[in-house]
Amino acid sequence: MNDREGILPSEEEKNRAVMRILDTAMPQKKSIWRELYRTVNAVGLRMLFFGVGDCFFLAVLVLCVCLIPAAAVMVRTIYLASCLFMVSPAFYALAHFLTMWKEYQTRTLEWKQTWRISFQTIMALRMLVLGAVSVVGSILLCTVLWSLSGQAVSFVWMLSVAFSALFLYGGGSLLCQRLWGMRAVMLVPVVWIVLSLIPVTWEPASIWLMQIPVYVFLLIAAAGGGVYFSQIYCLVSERSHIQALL
Amino acid sequence: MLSVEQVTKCYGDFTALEDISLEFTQGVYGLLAPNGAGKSTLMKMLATLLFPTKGRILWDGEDIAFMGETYRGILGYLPQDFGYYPNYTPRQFMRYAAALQKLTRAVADQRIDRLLELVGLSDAADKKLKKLSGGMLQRVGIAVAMLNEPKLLILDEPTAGLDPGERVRFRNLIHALANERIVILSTHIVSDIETIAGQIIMLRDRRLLCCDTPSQICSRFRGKIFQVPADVPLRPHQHVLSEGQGENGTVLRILSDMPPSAGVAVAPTLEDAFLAIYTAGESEHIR
Ligand SMILES: Nc1ncnc2c1ncn2[C@@H]1O[C@H](COP(=O)(O)OP(=O)(O)O)[C@@H](O)[C@H]1O
Ligand SMILES: [Mg+2]
Repeated sequence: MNDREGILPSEEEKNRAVMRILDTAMPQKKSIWRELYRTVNAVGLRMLFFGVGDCFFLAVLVLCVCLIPAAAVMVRTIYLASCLFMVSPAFYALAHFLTMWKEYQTRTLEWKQTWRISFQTIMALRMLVLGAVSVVGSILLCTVLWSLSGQAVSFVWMLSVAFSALFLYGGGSLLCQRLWGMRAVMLVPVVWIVLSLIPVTWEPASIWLMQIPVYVFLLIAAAGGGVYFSQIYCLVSERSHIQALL
Repeated sequence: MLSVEQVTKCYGDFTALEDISLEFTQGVYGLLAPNGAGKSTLMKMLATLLFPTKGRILWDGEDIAFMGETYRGILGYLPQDFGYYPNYTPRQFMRYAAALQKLTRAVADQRIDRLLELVGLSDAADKKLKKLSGGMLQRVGIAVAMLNEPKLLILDEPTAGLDPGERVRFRNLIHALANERIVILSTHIVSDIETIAGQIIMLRDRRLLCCDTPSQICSRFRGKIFQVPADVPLRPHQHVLSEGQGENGTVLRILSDMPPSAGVAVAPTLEDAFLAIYTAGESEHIR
């Protein structure tokens, strides 16, 4: 009897073997997006941003301070596009940078990376939440500017400018982070500020931006969004990603 | 069961570990080697924070690199020199860790109370982390690593920064945790593990030097360790391992193949073996 028990696989072993066969036979069958949704439901938003709440507070504070001079410039219609382009990813950029910087500084990454819900998953969820908040923020910003400017330019055009900037930044920053790690987290915001200051300070560039039609911005937004979601996907599914950050 | 199969780890051009093979079954393993020998590198690979350049690591026959969450579910890991959020309390931090370990709130609260008691921190459970001493933080770290009741507990230099009293406490704690799981802890301090580790793993020149019981390691130096007065001149091939106070002043513990003219043979300790291997360069005995 004992011999048979030694030979026959236990219930746990059997289950594991079945799972392994299923995994091999149906790779990637379970959707990463559904997993993410389930995780955020189980963990809750508060735990998702545990320890980095102050980063958001700081981001909003900095944004408010910076928006005042920006608003003064944006009232002039020719600078509308360049300012929108600069401002709409600002909250996302600040919050992303500050949270990553804090996680890096507190040296908790290694630790978190070994917990069941990995830091990669947490980071992906945070980026998605930040993205969603920024989309809502951009819509609000456009609405306010549109009414302030006396509806001088098309609302849809303004939205397309804001979204193209936001998704370009979101996708680009995640891609750079995957390729170059923590260095990129610090460099990308600087590059963005420098690039978007060009049209703000140089009128011809600003006028040129104003002449770009809606569909071009929408295309840029779609491409940026594609990169953004594919990078979120990589973040969750690639085991090597985090090593660049440790 | 955890097995490391011919693992090599390179950082760029630099080879940190070469051709390491090990088997871990239930019990306490002490990874004992000087700083820079590659202890953290090995432990990070066991924790899937790094992946081997060559070779593989298996848990019950399955490559841990592809087990993902399943593996992390059985792993408890305490990094060397870990960070924390200073303004949170141990209980808050553990609740957070528990949520990310997929424990329900009820199970988590029960376990947190039990673990905080086990590590002797029930009174400090609601103090801010920044108010705790280094030893207390270290114990919070161990409690966090134990939250998911891991089958594999990896502690990287858990005794660094502990005072002598806390070291004793720590050894008792490890004794209490060692049932029914693999515990691997690293240190460069012999006394931290000589009484608690069933097996001692030593690394030298990037390679595995030995994985053996403390008494086996000591026995290889039997008849080669002597205690001599400090004023006796030493001959070549005699290495001073340590100094101590004898009845008639300072005495030296030396490693020598031949009995010295003055002095007595003493039973080798793990400390002697460690010093013989790493300071006197004596690794032939152990191979
Ligand atoms: N990320 C890294 N890049 C390059 N070299 C590293 C890195 N991490 C560790 N090393 C080197 O690998 C060797 C082993 O380091 P480590 O595993 O931290 O040793 P230990 O924990 O035993 O003190 C050291 O020489 C160290 O300088
Ligand atoms: Mg180390």
